[in-house]
Amino acid sequence: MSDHSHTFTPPSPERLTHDLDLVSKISLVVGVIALILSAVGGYCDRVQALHSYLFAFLYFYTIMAGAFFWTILHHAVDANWSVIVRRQFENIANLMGVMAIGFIPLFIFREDIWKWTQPSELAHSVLLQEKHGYLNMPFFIVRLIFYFGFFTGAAYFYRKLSTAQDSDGSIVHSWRLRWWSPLSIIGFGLAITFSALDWLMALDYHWYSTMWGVYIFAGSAQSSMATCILIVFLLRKAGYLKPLSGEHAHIMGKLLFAFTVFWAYIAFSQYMLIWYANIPEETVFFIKRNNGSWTYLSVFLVAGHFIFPFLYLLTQAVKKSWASLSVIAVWILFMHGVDHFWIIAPVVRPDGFSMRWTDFTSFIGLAGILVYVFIRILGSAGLFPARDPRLNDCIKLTN
Amino acid sequence: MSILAKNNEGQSVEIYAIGAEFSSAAAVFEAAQKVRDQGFKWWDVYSSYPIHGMDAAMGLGKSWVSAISLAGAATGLTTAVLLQTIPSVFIYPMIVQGKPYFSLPAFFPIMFELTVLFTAFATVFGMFTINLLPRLHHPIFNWERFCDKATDDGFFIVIEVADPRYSETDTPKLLESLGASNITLIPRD
Repeated sequence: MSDHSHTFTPPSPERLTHDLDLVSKISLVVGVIALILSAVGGYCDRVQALHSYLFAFLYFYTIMAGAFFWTILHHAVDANWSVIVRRQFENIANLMGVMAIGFIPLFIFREDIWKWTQPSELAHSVLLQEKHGYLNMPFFIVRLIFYFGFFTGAAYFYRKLSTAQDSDGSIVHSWRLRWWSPLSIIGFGLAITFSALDWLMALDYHWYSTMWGVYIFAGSAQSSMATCILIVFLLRKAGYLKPLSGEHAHIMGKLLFAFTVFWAYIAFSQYMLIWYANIPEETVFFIKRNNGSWTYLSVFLVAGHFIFPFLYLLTQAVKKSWASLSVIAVWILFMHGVDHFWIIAPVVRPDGFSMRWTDFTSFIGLAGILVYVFIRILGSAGLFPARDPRLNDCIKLTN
Repeated sequence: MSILAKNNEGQSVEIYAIGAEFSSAAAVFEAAQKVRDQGFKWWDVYSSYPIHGMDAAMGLGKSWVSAISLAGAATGLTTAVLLQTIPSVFIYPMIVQGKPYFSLPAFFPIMFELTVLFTAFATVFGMFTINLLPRLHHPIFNWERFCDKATDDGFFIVIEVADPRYSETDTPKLLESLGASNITLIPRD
């Protein structure tokens, strides 16, 4: 019911008033030191350090891509519940520019990561010759430009018009963003699928799975929802975003729950078809991860990425509280890391589960720099779209 | 205890409830909140479409259907595990595709399907049971105006006389003060 409360005062625009300058600078310094340590690690063992870096890179890349997905989905379906939290999705998605720069080391040392990029490989691999139409350097570069160009440009566009509405309150911005959103969804689908193929599936160019793109997408949508829940929780702790209620938490919890199940559904569908058909070309991926001590990580992935969050999020009360929701959000972000570690690490550590210190340094390094940039982005505009035409509906939300 | 009233022919009939009509969804929404605040328990709101937030306005608690659903899900999951494990491991062990007898990945689709199926059944039949459905007739259909308008453009609140807060004098006054029209005593038969 929207017409039973006759008096409604819109919330006044909020901006970040806490001084996070010191926090951001510390995280920048920590990040840079950690990345320098990673570079030292790379000097000692280049292949391992590069895979550590690839792990950290994809961990954050998927979260940003997911945040962009939630932004465009909001506009495509003209949602009202997400108006207040939308700015945080826009902020996270706008970190993609950092990732574009962060890809440079991966591109320079590509031959240590993606074997197909070695010029000598093509001559003696019949399989690679067959796949050469896709796996060739010019097309790889074109795709790279598309991924980062699309994500950076579109994320900038979506935040730019959204913040422009903060100042002039014009509804035209909403219309324009909505008009572009279906096209953006197509671009997003192509970018997330093929970047997952290029960077993860192509770690072993012999292997293929038709479900790979959607598998990465499922984890990406889930983890970005968890990230946003966490950011909103922290902002509310600091005294912002007070118009949000347990109803908003409930919806975000339901979406987190939905994508927990979706991830499991996709992960299992991928596993079962490969397991059942038993074709060597396909099973190579799971044989690596289901032998030796990697088995334990595989089992832990199923239990921690699906079963535990599933049971935890089952009851309504848990989803209606920001505090209990942010507990599982932290856990899901941890499991998202386990997921990507499980995808990348077994490729270069076939002897069994092991962690290198570069895994931690490259993760902390990227995280530090991203936190620094995120605080800058957070402070540069209002914390929610204060003049969005659907703001009233969002605040009065019941579900 | 039964409450009686005279009908048009002067016979005395047993009363089931008191009904009141409201002009809009917003009016019935506000009235429902007031009736809730008066502490009534045996009453209901009728409209031709779902009104958002009405469960809170009526003071309905959380439904127990989800607990029944969970029980259905657990039953379905257990059934699927047993129905596959007992034959393929104990009664008729056969090697299929070189897989072990107990192949959990192969069992998963059935486990998933039976969990969903049993959950659906438990939900639907649990909801029916809680709502005392199905039933062939309901005393509320003795109110002609309700039959004409409830599924069309009418908004109604009906308070049963069985409610401990019901009072022959005060309840009609309360409904009237909430802006209701056509306040009617509905006979049980």
